[in-house]
Amino acid sequence: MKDSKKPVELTPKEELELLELEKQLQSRIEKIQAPPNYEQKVQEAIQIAKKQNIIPLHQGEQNRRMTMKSSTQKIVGIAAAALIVFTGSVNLSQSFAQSVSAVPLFGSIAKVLQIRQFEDKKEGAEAIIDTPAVQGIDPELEKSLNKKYLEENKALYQQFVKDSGDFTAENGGHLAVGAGFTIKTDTKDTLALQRFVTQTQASTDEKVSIDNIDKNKKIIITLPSLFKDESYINVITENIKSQMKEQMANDKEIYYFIKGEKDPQDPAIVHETGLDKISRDQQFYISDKNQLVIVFNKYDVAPGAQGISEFVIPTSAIQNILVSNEYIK
Amino acid sequence: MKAELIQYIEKNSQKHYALALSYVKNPEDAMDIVQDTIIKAIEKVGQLKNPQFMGTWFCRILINNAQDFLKNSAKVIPSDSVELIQEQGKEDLYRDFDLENALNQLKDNERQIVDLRFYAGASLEEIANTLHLNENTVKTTLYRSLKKLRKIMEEE
Repeated sequence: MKDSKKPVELTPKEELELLELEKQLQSRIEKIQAPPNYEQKVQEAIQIAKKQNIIPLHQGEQNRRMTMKSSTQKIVGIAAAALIVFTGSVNLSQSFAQSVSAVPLFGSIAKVLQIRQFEDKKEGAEAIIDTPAVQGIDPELEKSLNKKYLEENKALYQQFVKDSGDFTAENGGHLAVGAGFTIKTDTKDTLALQRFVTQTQASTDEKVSIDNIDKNKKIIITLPSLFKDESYINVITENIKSQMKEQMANDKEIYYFIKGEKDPQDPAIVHETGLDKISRDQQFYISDKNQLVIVFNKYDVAPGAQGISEFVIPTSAIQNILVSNEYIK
Repeated sequence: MKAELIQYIEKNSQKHYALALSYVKNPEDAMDIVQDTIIKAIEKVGQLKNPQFMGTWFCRILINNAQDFLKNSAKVIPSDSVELIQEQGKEDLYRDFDLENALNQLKDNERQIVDLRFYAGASLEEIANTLHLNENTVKTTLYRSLKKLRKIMEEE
């Protein structure tokens, strides 16, 4: 494009028209919406990129390649999934075992691989089950963890195959099963890997389970092992209850269920379910700020719309019952 | 600069999606392209000298990625599976098929200016600097391209 090719100035009328045209296109573009899981993907990419910078460049490049599905692989996946839809087949023996990504962990050569084990799609039912595989920490520990992850997801898939027969396009039902994981904490000392399972029928159920790994000692950290005795159950429960009440007092949109307590917005109701006591092996993780975070599954202590509930327990509240300040500070 | 870049990415993610989608046509692919671009951009943030040009810089990486993707996928998609892929993309998302189609009918130089102006949010001066053009040329081309887009969209 040469500068001399076109008349260079717009007339004042054309200038105005240009402004109007710009406004129209701008608003059209703003209406385009990304799928709901998009923001999460943006965050994932940011996290991966941040971690790339602390490992050697050539290794980073390799990991990056592994992280992003190659276009060829992708298209094979789509074609296969589409084929199931098009043939209307209900044969659910289709399963893929392909490593779709690797998340490098802090320092060392440790990483978590994401393996797309099972993927199924037919009218009325679909399942996408991703299984994590921990690598580079300790062979024995990895073996037992990875075996557990695999077996649980296998069982999940078998259940899906069983259930999905009831859902067809004719009866209008829909079943979706998804499993995957997120890394809650990754420091030089600990790794907290949270797995989740979502099941969507009329509503979505979500369950998580977390493993806290001590990278140095190569052991799994359990909740009871952090404390001198069982008193932590009551101490933490009381702390969470007061956090719940405080949050509800400050924000009418937040809602928790505490068993045996009156509903703050309708004192005539006394909750019969909800938080009573945390369990001995309540889900938890140790945050990157070395704080204890207690996790409840969807529906356990709050309405479904609030999803998974997490409570950070101030270290001062549990200091005198901790075995040590090795993990929690 | 890295923190600023991440902030920029988070703030403009929807636009980046729209830009990627306008090239690759499939929501899944568009999301992959954005992910890949984010990783590349953060890796190469050292190359970005002036934060003022962040949008242009980022979107040009994105466009390159999208074009590479199209080049590579053109080799492996047998013609009859194109339909399948579109089938996959037919989710209940808001899309603007008319706009996507119209953008694809622009000439390369027109498309470049439109992308930088609307998706990267660049000023005319910045576009002129980036593409080594006279600012008035940018303005007249933009005007012409927008009229063309409107005309194509009205015809449909």
